[in-house]
Amino acid sequence: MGFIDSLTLGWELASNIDNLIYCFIGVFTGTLIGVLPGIGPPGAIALLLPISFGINPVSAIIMLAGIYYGASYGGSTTSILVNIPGESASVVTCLDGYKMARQGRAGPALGISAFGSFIAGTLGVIFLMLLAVPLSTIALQFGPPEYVALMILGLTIVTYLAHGSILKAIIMATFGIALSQIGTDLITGRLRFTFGIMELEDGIGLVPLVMGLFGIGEVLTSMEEAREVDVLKRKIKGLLPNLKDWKDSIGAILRGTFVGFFLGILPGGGAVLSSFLAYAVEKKVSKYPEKFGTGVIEGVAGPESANNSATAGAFIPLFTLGIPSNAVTALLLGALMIHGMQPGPMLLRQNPEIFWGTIISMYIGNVMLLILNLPLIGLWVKVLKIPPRILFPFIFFFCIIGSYSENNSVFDVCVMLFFGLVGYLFRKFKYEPAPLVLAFILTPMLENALRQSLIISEGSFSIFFSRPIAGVALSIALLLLLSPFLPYLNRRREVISKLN
Amino acid sequence: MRYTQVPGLIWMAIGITLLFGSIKLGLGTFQKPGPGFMPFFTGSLLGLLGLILAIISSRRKDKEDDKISLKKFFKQGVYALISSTIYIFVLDYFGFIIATFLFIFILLKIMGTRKWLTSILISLLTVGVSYLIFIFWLRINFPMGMLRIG
Repeated sequence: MGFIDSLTLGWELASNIDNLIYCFIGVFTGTLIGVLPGIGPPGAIALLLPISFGINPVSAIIMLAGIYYGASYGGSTTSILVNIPGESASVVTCLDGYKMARQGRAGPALGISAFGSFIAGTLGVIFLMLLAVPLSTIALQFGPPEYVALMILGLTIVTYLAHGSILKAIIMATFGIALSQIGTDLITGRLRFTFGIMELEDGIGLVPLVMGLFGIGEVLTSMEEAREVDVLKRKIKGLLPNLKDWKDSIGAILRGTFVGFFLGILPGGGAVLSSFLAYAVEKKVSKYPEKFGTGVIEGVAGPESANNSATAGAFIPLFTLGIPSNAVTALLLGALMIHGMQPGPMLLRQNPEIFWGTIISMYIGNVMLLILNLPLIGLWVKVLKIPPRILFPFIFFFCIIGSYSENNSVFDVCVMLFFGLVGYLFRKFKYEPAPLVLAFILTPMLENALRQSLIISEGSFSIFFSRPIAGVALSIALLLLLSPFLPYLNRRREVISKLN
Repeated sequence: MRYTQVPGLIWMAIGITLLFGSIKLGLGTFQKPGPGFMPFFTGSLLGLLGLILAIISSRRKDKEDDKISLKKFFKQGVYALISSTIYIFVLDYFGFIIATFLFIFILLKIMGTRKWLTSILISLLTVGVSYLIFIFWLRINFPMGMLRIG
């Protein structure tokens, strides 16, 4: 299928009225949870996952993807107006964004972050379009050993980039693998670790696990820190940045877009990391680096563009290899599999509608977000004023209903609440749940590929090192895992985790 | 033994459980890996990591983990979790409408909404809106309850 045909197919799907509605639900929810404290993109996607089972796969992915890129718009609003990042990719926006707001320039700050996000999101989608097809052609030649190596590398990078102790992050990933092995062994049909509980025969559900860890777990943590937000009282005026603002920030937007997209492809905290890197880049190229942190518009434009194009970049490994690079794309992968799709290089050939429909919808979604976030900014400011003590009961309620509705199962709700408690304890003891979720979703594929590779090689592990791509990937993974013993790499990592 | 070692020991225990479980399942051979093949490695790794964590945390000077306090949790969070568990089990008995109303009301109280009228109004509103969304629109089957309403 030619490029133009693909675009036409995508456009037909994405502009279909149903899909426009699902896209809107997605970006609206995304902005909402970006603004609200206590629940982030993974939790929100888990909430909408049960709804997505009932609709066709293209609409489902369009909606869920909308939450993902929508959240980075919403996150910037709270960073700028109340100095509280709605999600971690907007942390760095606080530095100059909030200062601008205090100087009465909240309008241009919000404006440039929305326009920057729009430009970056759009360019990111174009990069994604151009890169995905050639990459998936290369990926077609990969066999089970390459997949094993790439999945291990992906998991390792996510673990390496996790906050805090690397040992705890490795424990999280290992625990995720362990949890995923509960249920029926796909190859032999034997039951594993079900402890006689019938409901566990299908394994632990993705929805209750993620809702517990990221929904309830996060709310229980924020309950302890909750305070009423003090929203900037001054009226927001002049949302359109003036000519000088544009002149100052257009370079930052373009640089941010590049940084964001290519970091986004790599596994790990793409959006978060790229926003910090973009800030650092702007400071470096600026003629007045000393002014950064006092309300410089480039300091808002760069990172906000970067975190948006990073979300587009994160779709590359998902659509070309079928390997998710973070918790959110892992959930999207889960959604695809529930719909019976086989994610991987064949997806682009067998189900081109999923890829192209989603891509074009992202383009449309970006336009919706621009409208949602500029003229309607007042609405989000009002949402910000909802006190947590009223908001949190709803998140509890939604998580319960969401995990119940998937299978009408009380057991699933209990699993969800259990992982809520576990997720809370993880946060308390500084364990990051992202590596766990990624490992949980990757393990069935990883185990399959591992066992297949060993059958091919007749039991020899050399198969993972004699094939170049697998060998290189595994060597990098090994290097990163050994990094606590290598002072140079360890210092790098500390710098990164301090940024986070 | 200090408290700080507990997390490491818990991980170790989980790892060892996996290890024994996997041996029972059958490891297979490298040529023909069995159902216990991967759990065996996962369990060994988790057990080992738990051991390392326990050792590190008992030797570390800065007692970062000692400062972790669950006091606030036992004031608020634990009640929210308990009411959620009760909610899902009484749903069958009371039906969606009554159970949800009570649940939201209690959660609002737990989280610190003082005014009774506000709490009642918000709970009523939640029941109404969620009924429309979940039962009317998404057609999720909830138990009707004893009273056959909801």
